[in-house]
Amino acid sequence: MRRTLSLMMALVVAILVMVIVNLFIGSVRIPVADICRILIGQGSESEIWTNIILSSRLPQVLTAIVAGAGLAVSGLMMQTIFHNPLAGPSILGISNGASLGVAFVVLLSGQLGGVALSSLGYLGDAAVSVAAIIGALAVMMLIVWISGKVRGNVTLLIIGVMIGYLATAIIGVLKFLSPEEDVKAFVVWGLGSFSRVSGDEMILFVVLMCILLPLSFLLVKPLNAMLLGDRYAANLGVNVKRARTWIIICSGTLVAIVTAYCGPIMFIGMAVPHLARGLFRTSDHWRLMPATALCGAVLALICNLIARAPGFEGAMPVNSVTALVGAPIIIYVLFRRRKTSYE
Amino acid sequence: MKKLSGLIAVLVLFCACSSQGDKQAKAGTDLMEAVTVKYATGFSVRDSADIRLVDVGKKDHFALVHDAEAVVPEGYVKVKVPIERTICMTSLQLSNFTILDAHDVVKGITGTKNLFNEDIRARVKDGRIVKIGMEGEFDPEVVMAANPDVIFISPSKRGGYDAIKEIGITLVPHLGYKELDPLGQAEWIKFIGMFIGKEKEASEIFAGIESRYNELKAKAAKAEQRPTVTSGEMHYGNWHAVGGKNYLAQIFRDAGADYVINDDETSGEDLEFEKMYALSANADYWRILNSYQGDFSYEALKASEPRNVMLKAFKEKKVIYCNMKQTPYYEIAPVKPDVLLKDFVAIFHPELVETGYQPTFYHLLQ
Repeated sequence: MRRTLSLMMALVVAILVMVIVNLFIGSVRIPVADICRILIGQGSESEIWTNIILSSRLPQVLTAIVAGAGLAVSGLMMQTIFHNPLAGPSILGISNGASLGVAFVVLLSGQLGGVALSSLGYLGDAAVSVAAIIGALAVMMLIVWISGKVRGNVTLLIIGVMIGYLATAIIGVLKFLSPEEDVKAFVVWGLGSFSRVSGDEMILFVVLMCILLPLSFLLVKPLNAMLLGDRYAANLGVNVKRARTWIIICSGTLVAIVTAYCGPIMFIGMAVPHLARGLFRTSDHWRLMPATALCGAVLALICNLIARAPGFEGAMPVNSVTALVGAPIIIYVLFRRRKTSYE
Repeated sequence: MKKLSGLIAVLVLFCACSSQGDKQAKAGTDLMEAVTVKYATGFSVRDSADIRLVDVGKKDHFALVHDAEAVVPEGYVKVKVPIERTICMTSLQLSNFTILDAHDVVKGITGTKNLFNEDIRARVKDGRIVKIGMEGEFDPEVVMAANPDVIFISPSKRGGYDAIKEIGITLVPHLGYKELDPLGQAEWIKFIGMFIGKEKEASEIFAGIESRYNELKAKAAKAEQRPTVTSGEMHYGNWHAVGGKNYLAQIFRDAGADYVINDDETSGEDLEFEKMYALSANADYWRILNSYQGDFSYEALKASEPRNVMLKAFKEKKVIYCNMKQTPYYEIAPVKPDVLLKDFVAIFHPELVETGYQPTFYHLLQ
């Protein structure tokens, strides 16, 4: 227990450190003193710097924290109910559904209107987030309905994966039929970014996630029960079907919201639960879930920093960085614990 | 002396050859009509006896002849001119044909999306011009049916030209899009002119463009104040900025303004908000070119990216705008750099243009 607490404190400190580093480092050099002044609300002589800190770096930091935590928790839930260490938040095709929704707005509308839609961002950009959520939730409803009809977890998993492939195939057709600028716009969306939202949209996003993440903690008990299998869980008095439904809904909604605002972010959801398990040496969701959320936030902040590091002024896509940073960490953690086997 | 006899030889050859039933007065068309290339760097012309040697880019060499039997030097692809049937791959190429009033020669284009030109649309509708498909997805059957003498290509990465090469039709690269100088890009009308036998018209038209452009450029160069201008838009957190070594930056320079990236090395890069904002926050003007359904406005600009309001050009309502959905742009602007320049000068230095000037492409967004 002591170990758990101290590790969690260390993670919180790490988050704070990464927040500070992210605020201080970026493609534009801003003196430390000015940054401090801006943060305490005094502003600085340069309006440009104030705007950069408050409208660009700060939203990014907040977005990265909640997105990282949300994806990690979502991935954890998927790994538990499917007893599959390679599961991630997108395994049921929900983020593919979000991509499909966006594809309809960015690609197909161009066809209907007879004009390249790529520059039609305006209503477009809000429509993109809305379309992403609708697409993701549609797929989620489908999965939930199937989940009620289907007995085994593996069956549900396979169906989810197939739905994901289906969505990707449709997106392929839409890309084929679209003009170059639209396809590029869609690809840019698909690379993922923590810096898309700012202002009111970001506040909405953060608030939503701050509501959802604690709610997901309510599912800790059924998740723990399901660790040992459906029969055992049923013996403990858990309504397995209902629990599965709620877990899918919770996980799916987290993914839907993050994908809508940041684009599809890969890898964090799959890798961070392993990182957390390795660090905390537990499978108990009471400890694992907050641990995963914290680790997810730290990893997302690290990736955000690297993606925007002064050397990469063009902004490396977040998805590339998450894989490049996360994979070695995971391999290291797993390798150190190779003598212990776990789920 | 050699040149004179060469000239006579060609004139004789030409009189023997020219029996096309042209409705247009092309009697004066002279293969040896000198074509001088001043600004364009993508092609060069050398005349040798009755052959015109054209080098395009670094790898392509063509020998334009009137006589199909003529012998051409090694490494040169023989092209019999004037050609009568061709396919255009890009709007830029089409613009060259449009200004030379040579739509008769065009028998195929890639598509009519965003195309305003009524004549071309009518021809596509009644089948005089066929649509051959996008780059990478050409329909070889349609291409063959169009039976072009040559096909003008502007190669980008998608390719798909192998299928056409198999058919055996000569592919002529048109590298106008690579020109950094606006006059250089317009000068490619001489290139097309050589193929379709309209060298004289091309040279005359270009001379007009050149003199108008340079005259205005000289006036703008004397202006004391040079405003700064930024260009581009934010899409999904990504701002594609053209670099200092670019057609657009050059036109801004010639119009008496400075592009925010004023070096001469970069040709284009993707920026995220912070870098873009640092560059553009205090730019006096903001050029935007897009296809917007309806009437673009500052509200729409704000809705697309709320942080746009922080730019000085936005606050002072100095957005220079062109809506490609309402104004033909890529299909005619490349051959009207003088008009483009005037549009910009009218905004940057209104005292240099006549009062009541109506811009063609870019206007100040209200």
